[in-house]
Amino acid sequence: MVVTGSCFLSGLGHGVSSGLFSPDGLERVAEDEGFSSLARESPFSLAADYLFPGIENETLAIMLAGWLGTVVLFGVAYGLARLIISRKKQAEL
Amino acid sequence: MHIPDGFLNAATMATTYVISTGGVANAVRVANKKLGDKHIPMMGILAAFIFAAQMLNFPVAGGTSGHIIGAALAAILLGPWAAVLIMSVVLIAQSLIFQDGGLLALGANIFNMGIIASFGAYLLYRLLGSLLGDSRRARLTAGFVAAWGSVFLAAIACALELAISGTSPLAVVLPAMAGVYAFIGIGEGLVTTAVLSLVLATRADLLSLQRI
Repeated sequence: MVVTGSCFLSGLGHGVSSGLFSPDGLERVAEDEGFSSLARESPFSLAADYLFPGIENETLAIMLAGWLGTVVLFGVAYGLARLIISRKKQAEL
Repeated sequence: MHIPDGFLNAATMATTYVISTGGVANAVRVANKKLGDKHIPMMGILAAFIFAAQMLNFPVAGGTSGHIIGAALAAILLGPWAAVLIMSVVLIAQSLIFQDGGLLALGANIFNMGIIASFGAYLLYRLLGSLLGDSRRARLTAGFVAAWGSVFLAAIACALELAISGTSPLAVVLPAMAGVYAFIGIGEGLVTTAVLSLVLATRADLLSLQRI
């Protein structure tokens, strides 16, 4: 799975840059049925649209955002699972 | 299928927030009882993999793109409650860091792509498993159908929320969402089956982890 993950990641930036900007299923339905204008922008923006802030090269910005998200998510999910388990062990003591 | 803010009314957002909060709280409770040391790295890897895989959009008909949800893969490998936890972490990060999916609509997004997709996939996988048996082909077939079903069910839930919110009439939005995501679900099925096939070939022991 790690191998597949890295294959996916190395593909980020190539396959992604074209795909990210065509509407996904829900966006397509919203456009077709005339309610896409209801969507409100987020009140703040960190790396909106999977673009790392402050990078002009779009492909690079997407790759950096991809790496950032991947590292953050591994860390958060791993940490959460460890926290849940450590609390269990504490409860058993 | 990440719902932005503005598509749902207050009652729908509040209701789905309450359900999703309860679901995540129960997922933590169940994980606290059943999670083992071997699950820890899998939780991290799956969350990272699902995030990366969600960034890869594949084209479907008519200038539309789709990406996988990933709940089916997580539910098949680790069980539905673990999948709810993983999907919630992914969806929260996507909303907070990448502004994908509204903050107010986060409850609905966790409900659709976390709870509905995870449990839909898990129940379909178990049902088909009991019908088809335990062979490699049976597992992959069950995985494909479960993955497709998870996307389809999440799309139906999303359509119902849009209709209840008065955003679009049910007679319009339900067939539209079901139609698009019936196609996108095929992509989910293919990716899920490919990863399952890889896991069966290289790390079949992972499939014997206790499901949570």
